[in-house]
Amino acid sequence: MSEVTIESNLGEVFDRFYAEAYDHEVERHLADVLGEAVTEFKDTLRGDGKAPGEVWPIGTVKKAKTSGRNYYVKPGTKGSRRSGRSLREWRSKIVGTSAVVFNNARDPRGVRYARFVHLAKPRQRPGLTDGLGAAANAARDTFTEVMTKAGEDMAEILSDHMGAK
Amino acid sequence: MARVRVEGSVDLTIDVGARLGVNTDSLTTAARDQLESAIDDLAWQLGEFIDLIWPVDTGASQADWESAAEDLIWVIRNPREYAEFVHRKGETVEVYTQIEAESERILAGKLSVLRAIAAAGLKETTAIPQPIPAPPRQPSVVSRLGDLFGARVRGFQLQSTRSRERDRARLRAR
Repeated sequence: MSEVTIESNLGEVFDRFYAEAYDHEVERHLADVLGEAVTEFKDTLRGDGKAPGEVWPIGTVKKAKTSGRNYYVKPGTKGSRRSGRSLREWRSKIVGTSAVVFNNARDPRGVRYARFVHLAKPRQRPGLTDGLGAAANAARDTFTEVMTKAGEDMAEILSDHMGAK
Repeated sequence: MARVRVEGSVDLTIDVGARLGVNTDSLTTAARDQLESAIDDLAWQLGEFIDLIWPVDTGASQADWESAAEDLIWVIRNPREYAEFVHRKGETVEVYTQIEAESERILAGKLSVLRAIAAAGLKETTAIPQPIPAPPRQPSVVSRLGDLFGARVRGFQLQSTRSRERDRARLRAR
């Protein structure tokens, strides 16, 4: 269903935590680390907040007076507003022992398009790497990076907790 | 009104199943899928509305609006610590209240369709012997660590968006 899904396995250490050393506060602490990772992921994708974005492109749209449809214009164009649909559509959840982010952005006709999103420069030609556009590939790299860091932090928390048991 | 929690962050999530008087167990799979798809359409409409009316400075809070279907729940929420207070320049009306009103308007417009799907998709309750139910699933990481939204809310309470943005700007300048 989702157009782009990126998964990061958090490892079997959770099984040990739940089987042998469950503690509510530690669990909350682990969730907080994951929450921070998701925030870092979204903030990194957004870049400095100025279109077109550093990692995930953010278009600027203006409504056509005649047709009422939105069309893309240069940032700062009078009467324009920032689109943000595909950035907003990055969502996160936990599945099994994995943290998953996915993007279901769709246009008014229902066509999901997140995997076709390309970076502003260089402009991407048809033919997607691993079925993903350059922006989704960059998002995957970003997610891998933040989750590697989060995984290390979580392992440390669990190690401290289980060592103290 | 649907309001679940408004404390800086905003959670306007609507239990559509409860509004219809059904739950996932009482419906056929086809009806559940149909209802989820219909709720997903409502969520998309609201997302477009949010993009249209939400004031954008850095885009941080705009990017964190979530409007999506999860089973029969319509998730509408934003974890940013200031989402509650966002208003348009020169106005005092908090924008999330407009989003809340719009979600109710959109839902009211579709309620009869949703009710018809639910009514047609109710499982038969008579006669057929039911298989012995499977034992409840063991508590899993899904059910326990699953509240990422709550974790993100706590994160923004500990470190504000402004402070994060400052840190990020410093890093970019290096």
